[in-house]
Amino acid sequence: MTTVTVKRFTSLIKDPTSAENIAGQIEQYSIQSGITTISDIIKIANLPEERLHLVILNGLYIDKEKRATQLLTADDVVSFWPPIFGG
Amino acid sequence: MSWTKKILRINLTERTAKSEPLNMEWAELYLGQRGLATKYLTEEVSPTVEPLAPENTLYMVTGPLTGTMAPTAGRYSCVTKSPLTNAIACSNSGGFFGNEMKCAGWDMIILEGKASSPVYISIVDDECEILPADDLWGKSVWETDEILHTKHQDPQIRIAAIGVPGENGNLYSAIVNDLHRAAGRSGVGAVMGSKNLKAVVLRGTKGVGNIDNPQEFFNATNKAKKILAENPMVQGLGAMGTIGLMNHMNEVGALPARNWQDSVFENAPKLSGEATLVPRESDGKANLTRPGACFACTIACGRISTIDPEHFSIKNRDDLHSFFKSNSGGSEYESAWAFGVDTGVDDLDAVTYANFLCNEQAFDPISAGATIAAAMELYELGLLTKEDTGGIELTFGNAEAMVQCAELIAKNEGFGIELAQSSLRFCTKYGRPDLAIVVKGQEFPAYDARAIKGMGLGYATSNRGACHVRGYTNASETIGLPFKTDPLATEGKAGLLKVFQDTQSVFDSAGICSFTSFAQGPEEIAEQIDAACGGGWTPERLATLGERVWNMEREFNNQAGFTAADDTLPPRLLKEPITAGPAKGHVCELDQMLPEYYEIRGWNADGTLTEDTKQRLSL
Repeated sequence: MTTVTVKRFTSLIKDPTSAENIAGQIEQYSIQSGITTISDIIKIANLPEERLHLVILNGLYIDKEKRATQLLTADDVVSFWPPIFGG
Repeated sequence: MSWTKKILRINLTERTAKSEPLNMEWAELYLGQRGLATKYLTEEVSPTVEPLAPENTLYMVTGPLTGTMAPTAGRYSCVTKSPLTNAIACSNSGGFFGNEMKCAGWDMIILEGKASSPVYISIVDDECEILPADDLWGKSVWETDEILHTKHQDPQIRIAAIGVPGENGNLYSAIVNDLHRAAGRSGVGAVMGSKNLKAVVLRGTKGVGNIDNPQEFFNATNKAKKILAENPMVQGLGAMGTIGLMNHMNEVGALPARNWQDSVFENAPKLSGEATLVPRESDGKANLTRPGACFACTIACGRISTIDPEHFSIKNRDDLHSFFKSNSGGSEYESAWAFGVDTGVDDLDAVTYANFLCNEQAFDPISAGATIAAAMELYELGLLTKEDTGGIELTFGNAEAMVQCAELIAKNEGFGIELAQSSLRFCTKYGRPDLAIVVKGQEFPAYDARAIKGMGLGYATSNRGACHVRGYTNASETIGLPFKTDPLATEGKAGLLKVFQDTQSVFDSAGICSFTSFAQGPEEIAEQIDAACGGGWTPERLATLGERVWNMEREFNNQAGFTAADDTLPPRLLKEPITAGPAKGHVCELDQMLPEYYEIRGWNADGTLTEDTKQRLSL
């Protein structure tokens, strides 16, 4: 079984009051290595595409235009944020 | 014209207060707030003045939009020469003090000289009194606020005050207004304290008007409010505050930990925005109670929070102000990072307690946390002993030790007096100035310049010492606003930074919050300013103004003795690569960015302004 880790943060978290989610809501999904793309995993994980601002794959930013073609492989970590800002 | 066109000049030595007209020629060139007050500073104060001498002047200043119905129009700034850096200090605050100043009929309050004994100032519209503050000296900001409200029998007065650190020359002491908003950085509180000035009380009943074209202003500000309301970034900031950034910065490996020895922190989630929402076992409440907003603000990035009643910092403590066991200004990204990640402490309640102390006694959490972190590294190297620390086991990750240090800084006692001198002087005393993560003496905020290289250039060139808000290229480099750039690349960062710096100068001079900048562009800002002020305020004119303000500050610093050699980074960032995470192996290649930055700025290779630049910008 080839799996990737999907992390969702801030308002993407389904239960933000759970202490289990302070490092993001973390789930494992099965993929086909070299076939499944980020766009695919967004659908598989039922993430709200229109709210996804930041997509980070193994710590690196993925452009919105590349989500449909960026392939995933075993043990990848894909993290998702809605728009956030800092200071 | 939106400005009141009146400034109040107070001489604390003579104990006089005089109204004078605003210099409108300068207002046309510098707008207000940061730009305007810096112009006054450069004209009235010698760049080589001793910052804590009576000859230094403190300017409390609004922008033309402050107090109007423009969204987030509650900002004011404190401008002076900094005792921490010996460079320009311009510290921006929200809350309600700024709009009250405008309501009282003043664009700016100028504080000169030094009172012979502790005083506070009360301004009620046109009436200004300089009153004894012997009963306030030695009290915290919170106590002072209560006493003054009782004394004046007016719940609507707004107060800006210093605490014990500011009275005692703590080099990163702040000026707190409205209990938990602050002109936080660069030691502006120490300048106020050096004048024997404890507090400024404001009450304005005149309203804010003088709008040049009210209908256009109404249209422009309504449009701006709609833009903000529909922007998902705004919603995110209101829901979680800037601390929502913690897990993201950790994930991309740009979260400096343990005095910048690491760039990922394994326990960052415990200090995250997500963690502030989780109910505690003890009382079922979360750290975050609700968001908090400043005057006219629809974003509400502020945090109103509580500390766990079972936490060591407040349990069984009868000596604390009641706010500690109630709601007060909670942790933001920077304070959670400085007291937490940078010290290796992963205790959200400890970090929140330290933040409450910063509001209670008015000192900068960034510099305080970073100074404690530097002290921790010295301790772990054996260069600082328990004898030096007064018995504190000052190791990374020791929450009790971090809290003890914060308390001693707040009270200006014991080891806290040493820490009050800031990390550079502290580390120099113990033989390792290289361990002070500073530029021009000011401590770095929470973005690792080795992993976000444009921020490194920004830290090195900021006119007030290391600062993230002066040129927040992180918006582009890791968040993708307004467009994405590669944080690990140096190419193009000089040009990117200049745009961010000049644009920020405009926001800081207008009276509105820079958090509107991710939703509002130059056109929307210009529309509001032009409708309020009249006289043809276009995006182009504002862009030139922003550049003018930046260069004016630079010129002041150059005359104060700063050179190109001061546009640098600590050795750790230039030479010690990040050891783990997505940015592993990277340092900040400042030498690849700085020459191009000087050229784009129109400066000579030695960092001075060319004559062409001065002429072009009417400097």
